[in-house]
Amino acid sequence: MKRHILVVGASAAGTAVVQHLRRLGYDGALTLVGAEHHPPYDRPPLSKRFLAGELRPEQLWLTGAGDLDRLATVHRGRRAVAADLAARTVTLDDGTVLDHTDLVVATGVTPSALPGRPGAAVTLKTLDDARAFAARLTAGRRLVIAGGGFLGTETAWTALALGCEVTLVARAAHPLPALGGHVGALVGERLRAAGATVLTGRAVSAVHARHTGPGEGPVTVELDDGTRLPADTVLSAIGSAPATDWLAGTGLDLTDGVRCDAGGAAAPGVHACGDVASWYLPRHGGRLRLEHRMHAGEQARVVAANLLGDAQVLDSVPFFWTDQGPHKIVVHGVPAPGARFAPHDPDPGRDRFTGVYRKDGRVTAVLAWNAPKDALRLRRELLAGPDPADRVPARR
Amino acid sequence: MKLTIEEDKCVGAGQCVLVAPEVFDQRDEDGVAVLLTEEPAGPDREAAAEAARICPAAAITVGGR
Ligand SMILES: Cc1cc2nc3c(=O)[nH]c(=O)nc-3n(C[C@H](O)[C@H](O)[C@H](O)COP(=O)(O)OP(=O)(O)OC[C@H]3O[C@@H](n4cnc5c(N)ncnc54)[C@H](O)[C@@H]3O)c2cc1C
Ligand code: SF4
Repeated sequence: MKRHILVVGASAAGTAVVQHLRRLGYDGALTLVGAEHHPPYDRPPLSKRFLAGELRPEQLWLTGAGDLDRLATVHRGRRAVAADLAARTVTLDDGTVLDHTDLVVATGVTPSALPGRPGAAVTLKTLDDARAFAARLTAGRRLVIAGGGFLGTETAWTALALGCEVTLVARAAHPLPALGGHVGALVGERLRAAGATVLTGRAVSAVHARHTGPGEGPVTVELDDGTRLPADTVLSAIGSAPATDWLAGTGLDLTDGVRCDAGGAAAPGVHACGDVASWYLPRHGGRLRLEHRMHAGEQARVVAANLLGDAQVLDSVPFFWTDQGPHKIVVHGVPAPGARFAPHDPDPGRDRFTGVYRKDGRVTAVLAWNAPKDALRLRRELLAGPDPADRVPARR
Repeated sequence: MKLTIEEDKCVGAGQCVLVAPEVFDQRDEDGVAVLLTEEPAGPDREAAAEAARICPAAAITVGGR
C-alpha cells in the first residue's frame, strides 16, 4: 500500500502535524478526522477573552479559510469509533473505514462529568460550549463552579467581570493545587477580594435539577459537607480524561493517555501527541502527560519529523500560562508534586514576583506573577542551556 | 517579509523572544510581544518565521514575501 498518514483529532496538535508534514515536504496521502464542525480553533481563549466577549470566533481559527483542505483530506464532524492496529484501519461513526499506513492520535481530552445528574451541569471545552455558556453569564446570575483548577479559576474571574455571582468549590485547601500553597492561596485571596465566594476542602457531590438539558434552569448544587447552593448555572471543571475510548482493545497502553516514547511513537505505525499523549520526557526523567497548549504544538512537530524518517526527541522546557483575571501567571518547567516554592519578591508594593520550584535540590520550574519577562530570564539562567539552542529538539 | 502581532491574541508567552531575540521583545508589564523590526533580514527572517509557527496563540502573522 502507498503511504497514507491518518491524523485523528483536528485541534492544536492534529492541525500542527498536518501543517508540519507538508512544510517538511511530505507529498503523499494525508487525511485529518475531527469530531467538531468548526475549523480548528484555539482553545485557551474560551475561558478568557472569548468568554468575556472580547474576541470574535474568526480570531480563534488556527488556519486561514480553505488552507486545511489544500493540505489534507478533511473529515469534519466525524468521530473515530474504533481502530485495528494490525489491519491498519480506523472506523468512523458513519461507518467509513479508513485504511492507512501511519496513524497519529491527537484526540485530546474529554471533560469529566460531575456526580448526580451530570447532565444538569455545563462544560467548557469547545467553541459551542463557550457560546452557550457565555449566553448564561449575564449580570446577577448565580454561577457555581465545581473545580478549583486552571479552568475553574480562570472562568471565575471572567464571570466576575461579567457581573455574575460566583461560587468556586475547590477540593484542595486552596485553588490551583498544581502550583502549590503560596500561589494557590494568593489566587484564592484575590478571587475573594474580587467578590467570589471560594469554598475550599469541599467537592460537589450532586446536582439536583427539575429540567433535563444542561443549563436550562435553576439547579441546586449539593456539596460533600451537606451544603446546598442554589444556582442558575453550574460549571463542571473537575478535570478531564484522555479521549482514548476509541482505542480500547487495540493493545496500546492507555494507562494515562497513550503511552509514547520520547519521540511520540506508541506502537509500530502509531504516534500520539497533544493532551491525549504521555511522552517520556528526558528532561523530566519520566513519563508525563501535560495539558498545555505550547506542548501540543511542540510534540506535533516532532511527530511530523519522525514520521518522515527523522529521530527527534522532545527535550524543550515545558511552558504554560494562565490568566487569572488581571493577573498573568507563566510557568516554565514542571512544578513537580511536592516541590518547594521559594518566592522572590523584591518589590512587594508592585504586585509582581517570581519564584522557583525545587525538589531534591534541583530546580524543576520557575513561575512569574505579572512578570513574564522575568520568567524568561529565570528560565535561561536556571532551566535551559543558551537560547535558542534549548528549543531545538535533540537527536536520538 | 512583513511581520505583525495581534496584540489581542498574544498571551505573553515569550516563545518568540526565545527563538528570535533580534526580532521580538516583550512589554515588561503584561509580556505582550513587541517587534524590534517589522522586516527582519538574513537569519532573522527564518527565526521570525519559526516564531510565527510556534507561537501558542497564533498571534504572529508573516505577510508579504
Ligand atoms: C477552556 C480552556 C482553556 C485553556 N487554557 C489554557 C491556557 O491558558 N494555557 C495552556 O497552556 N493551555 C490551556 N488549555 C489547554 C490547551 O487548550 C490544550 O493543551 C490544547 O488544546 C491541546 O490540544 P490537542 O489538539 O491535544 O487536544 P484538544 O484541543 O483537546 O483537541 C482534540 C480534538 O479531537 C477531537 N476528538 C476527540 N475524540 C475524537 C474522535 N474519537 N474522533 C475524532 N475527533 C476526536 C475533539 O473534538 C477535539 O477537537 C486550555 C484548554 C481549555 C479547554
Ligand atoms: S510567542 Fe506569541 S503569544 Fe508568546 S509573546 Fe510571542 S507573539 Fe505573544
